[in-house]
Amino acid sequence: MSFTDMLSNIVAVIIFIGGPIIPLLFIAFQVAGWHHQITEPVMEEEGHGH
Amino acid sequence: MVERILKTRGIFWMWCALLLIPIGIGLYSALQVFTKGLVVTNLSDLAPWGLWIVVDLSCIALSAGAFSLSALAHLFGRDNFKPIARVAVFVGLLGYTGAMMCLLLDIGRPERFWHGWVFWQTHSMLWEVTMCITLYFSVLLLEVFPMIVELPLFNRFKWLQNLGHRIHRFAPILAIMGMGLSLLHQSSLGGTYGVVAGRASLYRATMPLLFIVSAVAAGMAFTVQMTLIVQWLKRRVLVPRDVLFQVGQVAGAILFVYLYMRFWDSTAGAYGYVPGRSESDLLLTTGTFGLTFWGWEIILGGIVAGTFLIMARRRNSIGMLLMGSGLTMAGIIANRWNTTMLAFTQPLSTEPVLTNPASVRYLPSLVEWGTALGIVAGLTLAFSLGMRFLPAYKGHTPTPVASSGD
Repeated sequence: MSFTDMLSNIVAVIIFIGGPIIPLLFIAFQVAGWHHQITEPVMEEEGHGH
Repeated sequence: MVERILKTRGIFWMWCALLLIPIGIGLYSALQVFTKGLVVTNLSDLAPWGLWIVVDLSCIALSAGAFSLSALAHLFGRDNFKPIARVAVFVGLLGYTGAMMCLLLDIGRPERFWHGWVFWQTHSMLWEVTMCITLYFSVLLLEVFPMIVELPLFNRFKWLQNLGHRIHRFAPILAIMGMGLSLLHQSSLGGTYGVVAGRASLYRATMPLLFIVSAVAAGMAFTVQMTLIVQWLKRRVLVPRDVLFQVGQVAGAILFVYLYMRFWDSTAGAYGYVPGRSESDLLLTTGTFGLTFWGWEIILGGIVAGTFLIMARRRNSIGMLLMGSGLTMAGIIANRWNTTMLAFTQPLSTEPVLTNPASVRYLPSLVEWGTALGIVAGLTLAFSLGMRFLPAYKGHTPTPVASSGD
């Protein structure tokens, strides 16, 4: 395997794996941050509580 | 910064307007398919199933939360799962809508979509799938109907709302029907692949089991993921945190059962040299497929996702739960992609060569990408509108932590 092949594989792995993970991580941090700021209300069954 | 964007006036309608762009691209692409036929795609006799089937299978797998969570809530006495089952049913309805849109494009003769119901081909796996999917879609419609007629728009039509109340009383029966139909077609989708004797990578009796178990794990995880994101965007609580953690744990455990089954299917199923099967295993675990297989399907979408889903409750970590559910979703899409693509990439036979060329390289055409994008955007728009306006998903206002001790 030439150096170029190896480099292109590394770049492919970074893009292919990192591409979807970065936005997922970002959303996970945001959602977790919001949950830390709140206390859940007591929830009762409503209307069409399937 | 995100907080400020979310509080922008009219942000919801801007989001909807933004989604109209890919929907427009999808409609234009679909028009190309309907007027010119499948010639505008990169599908061929050698690669008859492509991107649309991957989207179709992924949509159906990610909708499996509807039947599994409804069954847990209505049949297995987990009343605390009812709020999340409600979200799952709506996700399921949209997922099956997307799947049917993909199939309408893929069959090549869309005007004959109804033939399956009239001309019964009882020896065909795809016929069984067609019947189950359409019947289950009707069940999902009945499950969602009572929630839709709760909209203020229907206050004038009291008879519709009364009908909704009556249908709602049959929720346990609908859950039984949903479970039966889903158990049949989620696994027979795997069976459709499993009976293809000419394709060594598919031809095995374990395919139906692998499909149903992976779908249940992914469907539950996807519902958790969607609920978490909707709650964050709405700043309201739809499902109690503990329920989300519990469902996450169940999904994680099922995901590990799937990985265990997959491990034995791969090792014992191809022990020694099995003609065709050994070559397909090599193709799957190396090169381009190797990246999606090891990276997404097994490590991130399997082991890491399952560990996160199970550990999230113990660590009381919503971030971990969201990561776990998101990775599970990516893993199932990678699995359905690998399963579909591998079958057509591997040569049928090299000695003697049965096809010309021996193996096919398939990359979806722009029209295929356009329609897939349009379908996903359409489902996202419908989901956004449903979560915003349907009274069943109104949710509860949480209390800020600072004032909770007052």
